[in-house]
Amino acid sequence: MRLVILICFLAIAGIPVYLITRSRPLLVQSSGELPAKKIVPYEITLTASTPAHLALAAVGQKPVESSPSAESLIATYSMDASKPEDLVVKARFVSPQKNAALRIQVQASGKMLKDATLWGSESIEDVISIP
Amino acid sequence: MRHIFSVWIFIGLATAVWAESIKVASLSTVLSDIARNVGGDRVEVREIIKPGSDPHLYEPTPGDIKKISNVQIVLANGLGFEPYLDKLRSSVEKSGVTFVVAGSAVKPIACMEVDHHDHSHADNATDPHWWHSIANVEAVTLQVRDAFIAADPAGRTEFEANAKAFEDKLKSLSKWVRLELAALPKSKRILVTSHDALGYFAKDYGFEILPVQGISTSDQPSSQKVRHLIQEIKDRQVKAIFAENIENPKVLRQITIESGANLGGTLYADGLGSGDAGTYLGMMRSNVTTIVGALQ
Repeated sequence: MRLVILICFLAIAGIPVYLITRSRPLLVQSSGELPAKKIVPYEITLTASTPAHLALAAVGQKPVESSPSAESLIATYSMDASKPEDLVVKARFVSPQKNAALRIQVQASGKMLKDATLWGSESIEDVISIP
Repeated sequence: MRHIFSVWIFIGLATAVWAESIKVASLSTVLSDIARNVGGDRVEVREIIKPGSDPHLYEPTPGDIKKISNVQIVLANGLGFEPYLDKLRSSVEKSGVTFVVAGSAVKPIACMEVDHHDHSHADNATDPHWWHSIANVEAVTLQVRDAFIAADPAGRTEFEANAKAFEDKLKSLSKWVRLELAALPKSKRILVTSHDALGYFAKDYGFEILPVQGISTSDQPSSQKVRHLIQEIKDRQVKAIFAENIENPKVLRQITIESGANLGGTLYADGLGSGDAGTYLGMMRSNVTTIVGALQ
């Protein structure tokens, strides 16, 4: 009888000990699952103050050039809206001038995201970041 | 006899010119370079912090304090980079030394949020590594120019011309950096570095920094942090991690082995290096070339 009571007591006492000491499956926080990309078309317009050979490029996009020279160039790049790539813009002016300008406008979903003007004389080359 | 007389005249003139140069002590290799570019021959720069030394661990010696007492201008980073700065100032204030502190001319950013179990620092601490933003270096160039003009008004024309020439080089550098980085997709702009020194660079060019250590090289990472970092490198497929010219901790090697990332090369984080990286322009070009080459 005493043995039975002892066994019952040990069994009851053992339950909390088991609950505390049992191994639990590791909760692994995976930071590797990247959020789904939202691809958005960006309309990019280059406008030169005088005729120029215009070029536009971005990582992962097909480069676009005006051929022959033109005063404007329009292209659409579809890019990840959370991290749109930087645009490399170039203009080589047909007739170099003291203050030639190249205007770069970037729109998406009807909103103007960037409107910048670069200045040069014979040529302009620079990078435009899209917010 | 005439020749000896001419030699003495020459020595006298040379001594007079040398004696007129502004004596500057610099607590930063970047500031030394800016001072030389702006000051030209009218300035004698004495480097207290030399290339290759760890400025986070530096403490002024009595010899350094004596050197600093004998100059007209001291160039310092500020923003908490030199914890001894106030003490140094009070040690030399009787000597009439002017302190030019870059931190008052730049646009500071906050340190990254860091796990406080790794080390202690004040909340909302400022990142003191201002020179990794070219715009900040342009601002400090003008600050140094103005300090030199105040100390040597006769040199105004020269200081202004030198500062303008250096600013033009900085603008060319800035454009070059933008063009180089344009080839690196935004998704790959992740820098795993020894310590958190490239915050200004990251902000200017859209990078994310994953530092092993905190804002100072004396901060030590916990093993838990290292494990999390290794997992993040694997998950995000980071191609390379970067050591620094000052320190190359063993933990970096552990991370490369366990994550599969390559050791991407050496970045100059806390100041200038040697050779081509011995100037600010060279240092930035070296860093950008290393980063693009390793992550592309």
